[in-house]
Amino acid sequence: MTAITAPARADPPATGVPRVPGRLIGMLPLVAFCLVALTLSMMVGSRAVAPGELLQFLLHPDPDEPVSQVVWQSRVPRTVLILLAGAALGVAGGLMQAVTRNPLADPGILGVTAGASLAVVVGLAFFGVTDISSYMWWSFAGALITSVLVFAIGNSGAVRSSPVRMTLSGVALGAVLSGFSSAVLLSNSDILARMRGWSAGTTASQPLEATLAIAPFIAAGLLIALCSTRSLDVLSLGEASAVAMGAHPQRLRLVALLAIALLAGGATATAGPIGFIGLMAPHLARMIVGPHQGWIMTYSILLAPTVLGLADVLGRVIVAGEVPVGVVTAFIGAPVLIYMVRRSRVTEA
Amino acid sequence: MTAERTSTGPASPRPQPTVDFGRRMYRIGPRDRPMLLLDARSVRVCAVLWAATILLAFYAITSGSAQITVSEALTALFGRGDDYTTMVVAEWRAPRVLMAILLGTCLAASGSIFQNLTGNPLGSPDIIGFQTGSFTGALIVMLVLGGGSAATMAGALTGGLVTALLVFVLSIRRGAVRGVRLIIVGIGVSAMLGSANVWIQLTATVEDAIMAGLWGAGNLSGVTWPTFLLVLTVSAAFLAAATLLARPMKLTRIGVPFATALGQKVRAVQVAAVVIGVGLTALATATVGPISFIALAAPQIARRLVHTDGLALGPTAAVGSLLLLLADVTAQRIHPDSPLPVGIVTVCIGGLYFLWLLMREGRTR
Repeated sequence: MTAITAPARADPPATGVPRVPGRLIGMLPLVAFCLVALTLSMMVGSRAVAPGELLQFLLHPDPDEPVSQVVWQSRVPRTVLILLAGAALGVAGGLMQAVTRNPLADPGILGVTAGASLAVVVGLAFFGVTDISSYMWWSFAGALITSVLVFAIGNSGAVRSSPVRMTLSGVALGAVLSGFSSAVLLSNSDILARMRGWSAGTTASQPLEATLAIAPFIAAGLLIALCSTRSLDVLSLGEASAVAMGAHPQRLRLVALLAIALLAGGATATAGPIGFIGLMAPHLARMIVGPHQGWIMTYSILLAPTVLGLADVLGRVIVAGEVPVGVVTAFIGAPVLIYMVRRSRVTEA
Repeated sequence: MTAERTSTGPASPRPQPTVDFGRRMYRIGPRDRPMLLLDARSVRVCAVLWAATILLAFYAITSGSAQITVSEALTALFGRGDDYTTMVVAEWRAPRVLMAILLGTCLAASGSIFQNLTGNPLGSPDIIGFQTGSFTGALIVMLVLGGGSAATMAGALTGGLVTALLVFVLSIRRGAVRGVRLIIVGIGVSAMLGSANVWIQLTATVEDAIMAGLWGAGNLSGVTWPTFLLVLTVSAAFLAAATLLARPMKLTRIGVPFATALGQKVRAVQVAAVVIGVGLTALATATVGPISFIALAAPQIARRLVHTDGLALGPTAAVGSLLLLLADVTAQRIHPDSPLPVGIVTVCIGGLYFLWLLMREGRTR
């Protein structure tokens, strides 16, 4: 790997050198957008918080002040969760798209979040798991098993499978797994009452401690993803070329599976199954930076929380109650999917 | 009816231009102008499947929390049994069993039509998500408008039809609907509707959500004779139309240019197929809630049993009926105290079958 990439970096590529600072500078507006989305998420809600108040109570928490309580008990946990779950889902989607070379891949569409949430529901219903620090392991395991299954089905053919076939397998697998989940939930009204908000995909249900408990795992997943981007670039040339260039596609897939399980499992354990963020963020990133996995992942880390945050804010203001963010992302993301299918050549094969 | 192997015809008494089907056929009518030609294997498979279905139906009618002998059941069905047996057999169990058989046929036929139309074994109405749209319609009626069961049926029917229309309009590009695009658009639309369903259920109380969830899982309990007769009438029309459509669809399956060259109105056939396929699924979903995987699995199982490619409506319908009845009998007997909705059993069976199908296709390819 390094033997090949090192001279490539030493060469002055015709377009590469001037573009790299461009991409770095291009991140600045994204950072700004992300901050705006996160700030909005702190301010907007059933009790609107003015910017001045927000700044004051963020810097000087005052437990006696109701607004401070709103900020610290509701808005800050939500916003941290948006940041973490968004980045996790965005990068998980980018990883899945890169490893499967399937532009329609997304943890939600391919059933990985459904697998993770089934595992959580089973853990809650039959194994007396109650605490997030224990049911996150169920979520990781569920995400891992489901992604292994989807990958296995997608790659089981002698010829590399088409994106559509893999998407269909994932969707059907997801349908089966959510069928199991609803069977468990329907036969157990206590769990249904507790988990039905979560099962729609929401940022509102977790305390800050739960989110922070999952943070190291998501960080590990992000790190693994960012470290494997160079190999993913090589893999994008095709399996045979990648092997010829010294990459190890199987090892790479295993590493990616681990990262996807950590990221999608972690996001699902905290926020429930949220779809389409992993589809939209990497595509947006690719539109901006082009086919370069390292930059796609980096930009996705910024773009995904932005999209998730805006969707969450939209869900809070659109009706009197609150629409769970998973519903909003589906309503934003499904048209994107349909647009992609209508426009692209994915389905022409 | 005579059996003949048309492929081995040197010993034929008169040299006659017989069509070589390449497989055993049953013929009704004269040799040179047969009225009806039936595939021998298909006929045998159908006979075995229907026999199994009838046996299972008798088992379903006689066993359960109240044990009834076959002779008692038969006398009750002919209206000469005692009150209790008549009520259990004729009012509770018989309509449920018949409904399972009928809807199994409907769902399987619909699946067969869609799999042919999309040219993809996964392009069945439950994957494309028309049933999600039906559930949305039913939920809106049940939880938002507060309607009764007849209104719920109407809502489910409307929801399914509107969803189908939306999916088709969205997947038309340059005036043509391509199978794969249809499927992915369907997935997108059903993802949206599915999360809308979750949200509608969230706004309701837990009790209402469980009630709606049970409907949404697909439930055959509480079927009455008037409902059955209504569904029978409507589905008979659709199934007859599907039978008429089988031949033109076979031609379309060979290839659209080929069918066009032979003078077939391909577009008309496709539109008719969509209307009938959607109608059958929407009817079944409106009656008992979304039951998935019958439409997906039945045509594929039938294809493998009969060794034909494409639309084998008869065997498909037989497989569908047997599957749904089997699933319902299983669902009632897993937990006799709290019977499961049949849809959950079909999801479990169907899911396992589906994984096997994908793995197997992957290996053989």
